Amino acid sequence: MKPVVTGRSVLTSRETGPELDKLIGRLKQVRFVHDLELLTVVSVGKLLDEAGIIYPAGNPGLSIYIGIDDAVEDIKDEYFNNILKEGMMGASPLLFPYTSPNALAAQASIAFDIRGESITVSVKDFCRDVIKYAVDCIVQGYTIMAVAGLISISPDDAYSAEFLLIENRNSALRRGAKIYSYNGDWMNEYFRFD
Amino acid sequence: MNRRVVITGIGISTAHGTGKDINWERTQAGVSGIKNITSFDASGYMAGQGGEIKGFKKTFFNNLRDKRLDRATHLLVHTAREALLESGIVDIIKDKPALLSLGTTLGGMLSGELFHRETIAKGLNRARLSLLNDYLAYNQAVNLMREFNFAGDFMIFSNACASGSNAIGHALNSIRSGCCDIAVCGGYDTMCEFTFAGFNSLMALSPSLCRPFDRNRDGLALGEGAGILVLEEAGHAIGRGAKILGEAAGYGEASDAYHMTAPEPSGRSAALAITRAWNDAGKPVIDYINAHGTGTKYNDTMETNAIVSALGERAGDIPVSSTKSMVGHILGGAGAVEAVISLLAIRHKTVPPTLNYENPDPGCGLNIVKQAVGHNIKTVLSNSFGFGGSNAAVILKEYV
Repeated sequence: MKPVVTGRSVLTSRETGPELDKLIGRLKQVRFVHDLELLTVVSVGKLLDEAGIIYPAGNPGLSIYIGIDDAVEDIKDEYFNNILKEGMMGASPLLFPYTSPNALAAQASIAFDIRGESITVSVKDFCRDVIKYAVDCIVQGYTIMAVAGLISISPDDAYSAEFLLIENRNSALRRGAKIYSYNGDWMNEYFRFD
Repeated sequence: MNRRVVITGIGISTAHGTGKDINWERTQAGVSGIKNITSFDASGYMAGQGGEIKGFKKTFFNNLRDKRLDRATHLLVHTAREALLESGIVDIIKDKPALLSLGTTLGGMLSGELFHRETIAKGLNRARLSLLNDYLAYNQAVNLMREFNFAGDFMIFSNACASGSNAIGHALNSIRSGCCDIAVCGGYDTMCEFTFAGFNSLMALSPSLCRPFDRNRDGLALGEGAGILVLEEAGHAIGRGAKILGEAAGYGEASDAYHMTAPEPSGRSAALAITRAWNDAGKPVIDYINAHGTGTKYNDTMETNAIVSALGERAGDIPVSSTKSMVGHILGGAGAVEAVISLLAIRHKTVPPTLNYENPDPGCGLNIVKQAVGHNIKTVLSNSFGFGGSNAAVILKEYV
């Protein structure tokens, strides 16, 4: 059975302010140390709202799969330049955990209490890799629903995020979700491939 | 589709050396590979030791030019060569599309460090951009594919310390589902100041000895290395007369959704990952657990809770060891290196030891093995838990 798409969000780091306001009071407490995490959390929140997923989810059947390109390098640059300039005392214990690419998926999983799989891939073929991975996990029964998408640097130096909520069709029908598409070409139809 | 997945080749490089023979010899003998750091000046840090591969400088290449390739590529290609040669698939993967599934947290970080140093010292315009050619996490995979004329596709997991296990899991699932018949999988990471300084700032490095599950444990030791496994659909391996080393039987993943660095104390999600792997493997009797066992206060207590929660009353009887006590924590490569050690434990019917385990912690009431002991191991559970609450478990079995 083909998984279906029940939500989509597209956002840049210049648009996070108003979207964050909509989430306040519904997130588990998280501390943001970089624009990338803020963008990730706000984008995932917008996606869950659109797909009608209540959070904090506390649901081991909801997973998150994120692909990331060079965007995380900005956090690494900031962290390591501090060490080079100030020696070992420049190593920030606050920033260091966020140099790991999976920090973005981790922040979103914490904020929305997503307890299924949390996977980050360093993508070469942008979103296709991570979307395909999420679809495979649903088809093979490793998860029921998946937040799947990517974070990247857009040409105008802002960060951009694109996410889909992909779901087992029975699950979507059972909860009365709006189904965007479940024909064979839905990945190309509903997600931009650069 | 119910396809069994077997292992037909393994390669390993750790502070114990490069190659499975030296690694097994030193592992079962309980030799410590943790020495004073020499690849950078660690004198100012709270810990000055780690698991570097002292004798390893470079490997040889047939198709790549080694100019400015990162140590990570050298380690990865060297280790993969051992696995591919043992499996006998070097010529096969030139024509038959296979999956390359790797885990790493750092990629070519040593090249990135050097680029940053040059940028600070000379300015961005005079720093060598060529240093970035082998920096990103997927550059090493591309290099590996070019070196061996690999015909397939690749996937890179950057999921902190669970990355290597995630890569094995993806390879297992891809073969099972019929996407491919062969998958080369594993993980790698190098010793670098970038991570050393970070773990130091988190007060996570042991200033003395890495003592997993010991009452007086005070932190981890970092290491470097690579582990590679060749997975193959059983019928395909038998059909070409390959020697079968074992079976990849189960994989599970689950997220803590709790904290960026601290594990969820009850081990709830780590237990879910173990349970998922155990169910995936058909609920076999577990004969040995190769623990994540970092030697930090929080991890080892959490892991104990997770194992007890997932495996029930029998958890206290199953032999458990942490080989990180000997070679350090290899981060994105840890799960893969420990999977290779787990397979060697099955083949040699011996439980590896946990070094420096002297004072049992009442909060870690597992059957921690201090010295290598003979045991009829048929099935191993290997755990990997990472920053951000990524939990993965892999189950390997004797092939019968």
